Formats: sequence, C-alpha cells, structure tokens
Amino acid sequence: MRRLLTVAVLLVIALVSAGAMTAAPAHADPTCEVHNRLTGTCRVVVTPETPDAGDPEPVSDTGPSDSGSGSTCVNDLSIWSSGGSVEPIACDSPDGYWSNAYGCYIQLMDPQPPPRPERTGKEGAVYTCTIPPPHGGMTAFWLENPPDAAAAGPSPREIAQRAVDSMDLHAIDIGMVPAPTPGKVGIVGLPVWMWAANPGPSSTGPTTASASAGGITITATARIERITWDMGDGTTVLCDGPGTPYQDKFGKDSSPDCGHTYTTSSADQPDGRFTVSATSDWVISWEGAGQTGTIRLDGLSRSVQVAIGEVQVLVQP
Amino acid sequence: MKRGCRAGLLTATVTALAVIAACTPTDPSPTPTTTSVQSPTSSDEPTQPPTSPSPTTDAEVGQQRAEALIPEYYAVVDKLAADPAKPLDGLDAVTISLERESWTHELETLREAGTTVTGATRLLAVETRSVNMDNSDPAHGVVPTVAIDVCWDVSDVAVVDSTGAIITPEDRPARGWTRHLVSNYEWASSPTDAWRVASSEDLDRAPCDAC
Repeated sequence: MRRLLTVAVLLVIALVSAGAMTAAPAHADPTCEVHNRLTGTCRVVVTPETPDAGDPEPVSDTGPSDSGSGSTCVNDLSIWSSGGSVEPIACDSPDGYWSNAYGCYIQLMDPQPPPRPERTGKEGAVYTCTIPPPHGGMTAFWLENPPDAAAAGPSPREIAQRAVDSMDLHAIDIGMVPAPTPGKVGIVGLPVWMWAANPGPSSTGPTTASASAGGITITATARIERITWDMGDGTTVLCDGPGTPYQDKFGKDSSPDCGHTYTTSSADQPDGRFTVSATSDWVISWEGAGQTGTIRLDGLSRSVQVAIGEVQVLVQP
Repeated sequence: MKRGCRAGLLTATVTALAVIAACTPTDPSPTPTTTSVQSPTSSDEPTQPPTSPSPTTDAEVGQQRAEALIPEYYAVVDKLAADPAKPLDGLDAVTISLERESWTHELETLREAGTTVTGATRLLAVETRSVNMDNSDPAHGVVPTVAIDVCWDVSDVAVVDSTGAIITPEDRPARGWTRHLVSNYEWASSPTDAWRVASSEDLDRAPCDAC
C-alpha cells in the first residue's frame, strides 16, 4: 500500500477546473500523481482544488497608544498541518513572494512543464510553493491566475478598522442636570451632573466585531477610555466613564464621577446658553493573525445648550 | 548486452515500440541502444540485435533522443540517492522544470535524514506513447515532448538509514509503471542534446512481467 509523504517534501500539482481558484491545499482531497520508486513515498501530490484576504487620530496623553499596522504577511500553520498558530512572516524570500492563502512562498516555475492534456488551451501556469519551517517542503500548483501577494493586501490594522466601521460607534446621548431643554435653568454654584444617556454598545461600549480580508481575520473590541466635556464656560471636564445619571434623591449632592459647577451665568453667551459638548475617546484593541494592536478613536461628539443663571437675593433695607 | 524481452510481453503502443536494455540494471555509462519498430510476434526471439534507422524527421529525432535519455535519467537518480556526496546539479543533465524541482527536494530530504539507497533500478519495458513536436509556446511549456511509459523494478534497491540499517518500507511496490514527459526546451538550438524529463506520473496499470 503506497502512502503519502506527510513531512518534508511534498509536491502538489493542482488540477484546476474551469473557474477561479478555491480552497487551500489543506481543505482538498489529495492523491499521489507519482511516487518515489526508491522509497515508496509520494513525490508529487495532485489536489483537485486549490485555495483561496478609517483614520483615527491618536491621543497621546492617556490610555494605550495607537499601535502600528501589523504585518500583512502571516503564516497560518494550520494550512499544512492540523492545528497550529498564526504568526507574522516575511513577505518576500529567495523562494518568491508570500501568499497568506497558500501559506507558502510563491514563484512562477521556470521553465513551465509541458501542459497536461486537460489544461490544453487554458490560460494558466505552474507555480512553486515553498513552505517554511516547521513544516518545510515544496509544492506546486497549476493556477489560472497567480496567487495574490500578501504584501499587497490590507494590513491587520486596516482590517481592524473595517471591524470598527461595522460597530457603528457614535457619540453619546447627553444626559445632564440642569436639563439642556427650553425652560430649564441651572443655578450658578449648584452641582451639574453629566452622564451618557441611553447607554449602548455603540455609544458607550464595550463592543466587539470581526472582519476578514486577504486570509487574515481580525477581531476588535472597542471601549470608551474617557469622555471629554467642554462645559462652554472655558472649562473642560474629563470623565473616565459614562457618568452617573442624576436622581432626585441625590438632592444637591455633586456627581460622584462626572460633574461641574458653573461659577458664571450664561447670560452673556449666544442665546444666553452655554454650549456643552461631550466627546467620546475610544480605545479599540484588535487581535488576529498572530498579532495585536490598538486603535485610538476620538472626535465622536455631540452638543447641547444649557442655561445657567444667578440667584439674586433682594435685601430690603 | 542481453537481448530484449520477448516482443509478446510488450503491449501495443501508439507509435514506435522501444526496447531498451530490458531486464538489466541501469548502467552508470549506458551504452546507447538501437531501437527497432516491430509488431508483437508469437514466440521467436530476434536473431539479430535490433537496430534503429537513422532518424530523418524531427519527430524521429525527438523520439530517439528522448528514449535514449530514459536509462540515463534513472541511473542519475539512483546514483544521487546512493551517494550524498554527489552534487544534486547532476539532475540538470537529465531533468528540468517540475521533475528537477521535485527530485531536488526529494533528494535533499533524504540527505538531511541521512538516508541513502543501495542497488539499482531495472527497466523492464520502455514504451513511447506519443511524440508531439509542437514548439509554439515554450513560455507555457508547449515544447517538443515525448511521452514514454516505463516499467521499472526496484527489487534490488534497498533504502538504508544513517546507521546502515535497511529501512525499505514493507509496502513499497517492487515494480510499477510511470509515464515520463521528456521535453526539449531548446529545440531550435539543440535538437539532440537538450532533452530532459520534465514531469512524471504513475500509471494505473498492472506491472509488467519480468524477463
């Protein structure tokens, strides 16, 4: 009984049916085209199918920094072996350019072997596929089109950004006392409470999403690092979290985690109101392809206007 | 040189029937054999050594040169597998393209494992199946190519590990058929000397009888 060579040297000739390339070699059902008569092992394996890859501004004063793009070229060890990790790899070598989909370095075979009868008249070529350690060995494919170079594909960070885009992150709904509604007036010297109203994954996080491209899948998790409140009176309040919603029972207490006290009225402001803005600062942690990274995202902002007045005490002489 | 096998043992072929040093081991310095085109006969063995007429057409040149390469190809591979000191560029004289790449990696793997072989492959039958002299697209491998089926026997070949122990797999077939595509990528400049085995495939065919 002949047996297939499972380590070191494997030579694979892919018989491509009409149409584009499909699955990676590990997903095909290989047969041996020719054996090494001396050892009885398989020298050339035939596979019936062949395989198949927004700009946030960094905030440097708090939280993790925005990391780099990561390596576009990654070696998924499970392509040629059962199990195995994913790790970055050089995009080029003397054996050719790296293909994430095939897990090997690709090079056009020169010279091309005589075409098989079933490929007569079809456009395509045989490519060598050199597999790096620990698996090692070399294969070859006949393909209608050359495999995509992983280096030309999106970086892990770019793929993470696609995942972030799918999260539909947006600014918080502003919750505030005094309420920023007509007819409501806050008082100078009294505590102001600010919080994120109607919290949800897309406004206050955390939220997770994944995206794939070029043989790389990245999972990103977004969380709010802080909310910056511009109170409109020249004061900026930094809150580490979404704040605490005010309840009547709190009376004149100050907010435990996100509050302000106006010292001037808004009478001199346009429309007699302070414009209060809440800007969310997100930290997105991504992982995949044997790599991790961070994306900082800010600029998601929403504004309201609040009236602040003074209490004047009339003293009768 | 031994006489060839009875012609009755050879199956009909598409074109010429070639008998090359049948039932003899591959020779480090194979003597070019003459070939003859003959129909299978009943029982009479040839009384004269077979001779080949001088080729007069491109196809005949190609067939003759390709057939002459086969025993040399088998001998080179056997020698490289037996002696790890021999440089693998010896494959350049008999192989090209996919065949060279596959044997290079195959022999490198054997050498890295300290594995060698002893003995030599015997060629029991060599049959030319087709001759295609189309040289219209060398960039895509469309070059003069001769398809040759070989029945080989490795009964005398043993696989040996670095300690000298015989590790020949028990399930290794002793005999089999392989089809080789022998091509000339330099036909225009070298019609006789540039023939090389470019690719091979096993044939699903009953092993030939021994001589």
